[in-house]
Amino acid sequence: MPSEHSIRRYRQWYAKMLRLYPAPYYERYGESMEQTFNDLLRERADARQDLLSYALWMYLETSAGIVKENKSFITMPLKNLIRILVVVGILLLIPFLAMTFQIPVFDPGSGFDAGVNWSFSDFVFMGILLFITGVAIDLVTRKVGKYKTLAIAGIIAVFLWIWAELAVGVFTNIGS
Amino acid sequence: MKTAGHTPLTPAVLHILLALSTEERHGYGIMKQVELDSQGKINMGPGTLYGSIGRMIEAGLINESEKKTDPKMGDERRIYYKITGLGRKALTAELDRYRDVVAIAKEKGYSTNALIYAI
Repeated sequence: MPSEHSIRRYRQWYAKMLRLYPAPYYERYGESMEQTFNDLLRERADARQDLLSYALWMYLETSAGIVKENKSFITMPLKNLIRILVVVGILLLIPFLAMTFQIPVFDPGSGFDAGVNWSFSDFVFMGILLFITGVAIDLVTRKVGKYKTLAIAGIIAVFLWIWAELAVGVFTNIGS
Repeated sequence: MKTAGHTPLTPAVLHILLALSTEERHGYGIMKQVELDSQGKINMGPGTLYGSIGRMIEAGLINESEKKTDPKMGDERRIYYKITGLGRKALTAELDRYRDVVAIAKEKGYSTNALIYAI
């Protein structure tokens, strides 16, 4: 039956198109969307109506959804951004207060004994590093379905590695 | 009733909640019910439907039910969606809001027919 062949072909194209959604969205709704697309085309075929124009309309409509979901995948809510900035500020207060009051705080650059001795550029760099780490954790928390804890642990590990690398140079001489 | 964050609802969300208010349905079932309830005036594609479903699940208005086959629609197993208590409250609040708007419009001498098109 020609309509069966067309439905199968349009469904295959639609399934490929659905892969353009952000991965967590695709994993959650991809199969259901494909089924619904198929149901709608089948209904259209049973009513002996044109399939191509309807399939094209659904491709277009879904394209708008793909753009929207990818946009919201990347966009961060303002309250999360403020929260990250506050946490970064609080964390930067620790070395600042340790320097001001000569409190021994662990620093991979100087250990516990020497106290904290950061320059202005150290604070700026650490602020940027903490901010990027915060944004990455926020993105993972909001968008990753499986292996969320593992991904967060990985981000923290990378953060600690860059910090240690720049302070004392574990594998490279960047920080030395 | 804690629904201030959810009202006013978009037409798509309102109709999805209405469709799920009587029974749980899968995506295609929701679409067909929305088409019936709106007398063909609201015609959603899968992109709009599942975009709305995703946001409604995040907001706690609906949730996923079990995956099962629809005897009327072949062997494929489908995810069904059902309305939550919060979703029901949001729907009631929205319908109350519509009722209030109609009452105010009637007081002002607008005919209900004119109002339907305005909303």
